[in-house]
Amino acid sequence: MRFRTWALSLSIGLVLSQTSLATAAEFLSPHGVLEKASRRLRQNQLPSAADYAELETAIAVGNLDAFMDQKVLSYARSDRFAHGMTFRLLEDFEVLTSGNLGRNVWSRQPVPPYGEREDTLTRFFFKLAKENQSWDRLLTGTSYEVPIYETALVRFQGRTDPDFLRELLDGPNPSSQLDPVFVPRAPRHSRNLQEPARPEIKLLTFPERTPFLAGAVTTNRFFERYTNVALNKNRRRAAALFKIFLCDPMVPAIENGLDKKHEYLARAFPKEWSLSIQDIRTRLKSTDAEIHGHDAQCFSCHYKLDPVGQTFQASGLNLSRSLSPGALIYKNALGNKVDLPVSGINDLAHRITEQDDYVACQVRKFWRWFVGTDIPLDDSRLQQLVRIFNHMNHQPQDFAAYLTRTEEFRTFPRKIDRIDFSTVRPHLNRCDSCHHGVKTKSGDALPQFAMSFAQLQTDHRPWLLKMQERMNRTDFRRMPMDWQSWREDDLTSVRLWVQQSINDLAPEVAK
Amino acid sequence: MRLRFSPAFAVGFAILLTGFSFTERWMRYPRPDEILMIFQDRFPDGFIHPAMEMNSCRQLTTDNRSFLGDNRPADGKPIVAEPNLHFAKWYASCLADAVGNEVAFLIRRQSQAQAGSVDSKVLEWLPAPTEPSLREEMRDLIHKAGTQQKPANPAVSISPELRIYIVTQVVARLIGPDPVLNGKGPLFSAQQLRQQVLASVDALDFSEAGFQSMGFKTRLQHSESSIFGYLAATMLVVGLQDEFLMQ
Repeated sequence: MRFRTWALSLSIGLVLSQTSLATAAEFLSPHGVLEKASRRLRQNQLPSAADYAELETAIAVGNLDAFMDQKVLSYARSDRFAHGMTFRLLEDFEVLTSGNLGRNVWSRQPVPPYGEREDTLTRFFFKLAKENQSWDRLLTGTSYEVPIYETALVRFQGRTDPDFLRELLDGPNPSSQLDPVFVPRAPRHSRNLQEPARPEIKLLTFPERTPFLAGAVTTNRFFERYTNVALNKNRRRAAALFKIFLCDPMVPAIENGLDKKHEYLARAFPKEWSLSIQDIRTRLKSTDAEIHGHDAQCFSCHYKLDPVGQTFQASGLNLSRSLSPGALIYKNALGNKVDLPVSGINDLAHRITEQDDYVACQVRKFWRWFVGTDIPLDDSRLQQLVRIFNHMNHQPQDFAAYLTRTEEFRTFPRKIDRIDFSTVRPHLNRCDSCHHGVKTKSGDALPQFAMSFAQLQTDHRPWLLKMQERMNRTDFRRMPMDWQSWREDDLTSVRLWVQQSINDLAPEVAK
Repeated sequence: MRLRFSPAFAVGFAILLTGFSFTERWMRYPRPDEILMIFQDRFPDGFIHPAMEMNSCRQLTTDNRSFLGDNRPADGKPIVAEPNLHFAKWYASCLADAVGNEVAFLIRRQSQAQAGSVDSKVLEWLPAPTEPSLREEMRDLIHKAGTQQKPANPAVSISPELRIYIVTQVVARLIGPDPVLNGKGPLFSAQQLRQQVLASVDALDFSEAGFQSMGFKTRLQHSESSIFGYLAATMLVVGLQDEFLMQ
């Protein structure tokens, strides 16, 4: 079935003949394509000598396309692919933190490879990639592998995955029950201290569409990463869903810069107030048009964050069986407002996976991972790929393998001639050492360039123009004042970055 | 295969692969876990050497965690967007250790081989040339492993043809065969890369002090044979090429 899907997708005809294009100067040779596909799909593993020999035979007998189709698919079926995808997903969910790592370093306990890793979320990702499950299972999955540790180890690690799922275990649904009392420790004399502490893994499978489950989202690690407090009302988790699944950047409406931040926050919490937590709660529940939840700028995010956040409301520290209705409300890529009431978190998950924006977002991610950011993906190509992704039932192995057979994958990498902010940040620090906080004649304080320019905004443009003007002067006002002590390369980098940023921030008409 | 996921390997390997990445760019440096996988793949016997189990290459410490691409717990994003000088030092040191151990392993295997034969592991790195004179020269040099005095520069005792042959073999094994290299772009060729590697290897000072001054704590003191010393130096130079590391 999978193979048929794969073959059908190829028949769509978007893949040009490898043989005919191999000779074109801008394309990689078949050997180069095989090497690149192997590296991208198998975490930098090179093809074996036997692979190259088979490739040459395939070229000799005119069977190159069929050989490549079969070979890249076999790469995508490998464990290395599943490892790579696990890591990409951990990055994408932004849960790849050393906080998850510390105990392993300090206790010097060996950590197993991803497929055998101790946390439910990592195991969830690995299984999805390894078993080529539909990508939608990230949101709609209802099966978990839960590690159970010895009591003594668990205690100092805080809340564990079984703790998180404890309420679910009281009911009749799980196909196999977790033992919340943990595994008893072996007698001290019988334990080998060098032996790694390996958890017992329990499979916990719930029926499809279990209303309180939403794949990777209803895991301990997701909840811990996107923490919630009473004031926050799960908006942080809602924002994570928009970022991860709908590629909404969720840029804060409150502009960077202390003055403006205070200005906006003051709308919600005026300075003259002396507030208790209860006051704040009351204030947030009120319908006063002045509060920040109703401010037009604040509302540009809150109209979508709040209803999605409500679906998490039933779960606090641990996952709850109770449902909390909410809604999926946002403006889609076409500018139309989507407004779908949902009965709970699982319903929300399914609603998200039905959105065109969700599919387009995931396709863009695959493009970035396998083809690369140096090759642009225009709208028409994106729509073609969305159709193919749908046709492949959103199966990651098949789609990744498909992408490695596209024409774009075979083009030479292109360097983007842009100066990265990280390149100029140290030099801007030198500027800040004299200028930060200094007031101009008009009374404006100069921003801290090395900090505030990390996220450029429209009102930075005048400062950048000023910088450019000063750097190009030849008189005593030339900046940097001690330019003789700067390396020419550094000055050039700053000049180019300033010019590039001015262009980026230019009004649309000027562009 | 026997050592691929041994517990000892898992310690350093998995610790490093847990929480590190660099910002995605047009050409991305592999994540540290991928770099370790590259080392493991390319130097299968050296990288998993017991001497490397607990050194800085295979273990995450407070000294190396930030430059290896540690992620901020607050937002999960890399602390350091791009590999910096510390990363380069870590990488070079790790590579040198892996190479040194790999070659030391080959020498040990060869010293245990039957008289007159070449060990199979050595043959994987240095397959017998088809040219009879080269084959004889290489065979002779391999058999002298461990018995020859360490020369100041082993390159002088190896014919230019054999040096080119060794470079070709190492490049093919660590990066790819000629069709791969020639297919990497109009400004790149296998011949060009080999010439570059050859020049770099020949320019190296093979004395231990020379390597130490470059900051490489290699185990090349074991490689008393000229051909193994040359092989190690070639591996080292190839491992420092962009094409070795980046996709």
